[in-house]
Amino acid sequence: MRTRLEQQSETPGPQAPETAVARGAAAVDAVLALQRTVGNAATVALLARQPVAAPRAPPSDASESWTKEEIKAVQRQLRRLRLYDLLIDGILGRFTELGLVEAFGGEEWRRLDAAATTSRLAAATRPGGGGGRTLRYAELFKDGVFDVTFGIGYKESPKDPDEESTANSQMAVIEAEAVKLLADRGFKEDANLAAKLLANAGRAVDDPGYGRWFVKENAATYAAPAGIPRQIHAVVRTIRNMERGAGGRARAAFVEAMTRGDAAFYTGHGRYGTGPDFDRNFLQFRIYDPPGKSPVQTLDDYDVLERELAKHGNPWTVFKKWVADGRLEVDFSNAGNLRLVAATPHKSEFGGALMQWALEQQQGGSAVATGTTGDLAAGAAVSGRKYRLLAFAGCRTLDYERSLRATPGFGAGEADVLETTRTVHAGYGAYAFAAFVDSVLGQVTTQKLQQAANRAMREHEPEFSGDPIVVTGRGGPRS
Amino acid sequence: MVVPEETRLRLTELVRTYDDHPELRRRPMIDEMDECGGIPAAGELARAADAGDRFVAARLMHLLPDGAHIDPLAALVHDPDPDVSAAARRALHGQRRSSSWRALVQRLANDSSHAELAAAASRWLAEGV
Repeated sequence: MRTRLEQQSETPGPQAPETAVARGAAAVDAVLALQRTVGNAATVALLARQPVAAPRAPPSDASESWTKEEIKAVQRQLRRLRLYDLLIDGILGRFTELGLVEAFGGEEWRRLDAAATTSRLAAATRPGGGGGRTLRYAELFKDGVFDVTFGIGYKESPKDPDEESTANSQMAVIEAEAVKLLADRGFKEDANLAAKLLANAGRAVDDPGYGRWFVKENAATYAAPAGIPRQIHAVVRTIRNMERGAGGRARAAFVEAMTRGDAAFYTGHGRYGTGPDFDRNFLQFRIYDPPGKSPVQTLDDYDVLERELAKHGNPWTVFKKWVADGRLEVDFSNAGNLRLVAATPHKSEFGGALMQWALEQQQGGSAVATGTTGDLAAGAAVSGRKYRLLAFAGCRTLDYERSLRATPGFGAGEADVLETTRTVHAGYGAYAFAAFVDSVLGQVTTQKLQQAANRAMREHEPEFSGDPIVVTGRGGPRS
Repeated sequence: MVVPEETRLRLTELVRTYDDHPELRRRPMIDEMDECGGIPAAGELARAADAGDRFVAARLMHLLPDGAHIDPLAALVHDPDPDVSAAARRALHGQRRSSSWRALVQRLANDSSHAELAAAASRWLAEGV
């Protein structure tokens, strides 16, 4: 059996960013958390590929001196603002902190005494905007930049499956649609400005030369109830693989976006519930009769293969036997697979069984990125982030939910995730992405985000039915 | 044989749906293409004046490999419409490697006037050897 074209890269691209993550105490906590989850060896390995500048001194935290009664007063004000709906217990716990971050639009409250904090909260008014949960905008906007990566997965052409590298590839078409939609919204392509804004925000990018960068300065005004209104810059990165079997670079960039970025949006195949994929999985099936001679047929479509195998019995049984007997050789590439789910829930389908088989080949198979020991937990732990926003606009991506939520850093309180409940047509991806960007910059509720994404899909997906896009997660406070 | 209009429309619809939904369970669609007479229809549609019909022909030949496709594919791989010729080349690559297939592909491999196709044909002949 032939193997994939490229070993799956676990290492991001070679270029060192000019700037680095420097989050002081948060980074230290993150390292400790990483050591608890993946161990020292993995921590050292991961940090080795994260250029880190000298850490900033941790800010003084006046909130540590607040008394129980003072905290209760703070909690009452948060409740009035609908930023806290648990017990008034006088404990400055995770949800009280979350409410304070959303109230102040950041961590400013940590430097205030309790009286000043309560006073600011008492003077604040609850924003309008309809019912439902909001996203955690204070976390998304706290450094003044909202960054989102638009990852375009492999999409085959009916006429030429090898067209990744051409200007007319399906991925290029989707990217062009996204670029136009961004331009319509006032974004300009400017990699240097994007790098400068990210650097000023203390954000590191491992492979900044990969993909395209778009910027809209002052894209939104963010005004937390007790905070000072401020302008938010928006940075969009688009990534797509352009080389046969070389999807590992796009995969690495997308993992970085999922762990270190504010938001990551994927459009492309769901790969039978196993995860995003940035390159073509199955390149060629060669049938031999007898084995050892020249092939009698070469197929590049696994549905056609299934039909061919069905002439000889149960297709999956025949597949396994022919592979074992040398009657069938498969060329495939797992380099671009971001395996979020260990076992496809669609193994009864020939395509699902084949996908699972491919992911399990060579060196124990492609590593699963979710769970306590995967890439995502490790990346999230060192990121210092408390919240992230993800979208998977592919077929049946709700299949990712359970594995993703079991991953440290991606629990329901740590990530809001847009997913789909059925197979979908890929042509709507850029439009759903534009609706996503509009929704976040417009600071709408999760309910409105979901409605906007479904509306974009309804307008651009042939044979649309139902509203397949859902947003899961706990979101932020009620608005 | 003239392809009945109803059959042509149905085959066109099936091909479009097939190509638009890579992760649907698509084998039933191929089965229906076959049951609709997709193999003989492909040969007829390959001679159509409309490039869209010729594209459907090439896609049917790819999805329903058959020895009857070799002759029409010999012309379609040089179709003036680039989408049709590209789909036809993909279809030819996937046919059973009969003596007529080998003769055609060897001829294409030797045709220096179409260098890109000649290179592809040479690769096909060397596959898995």
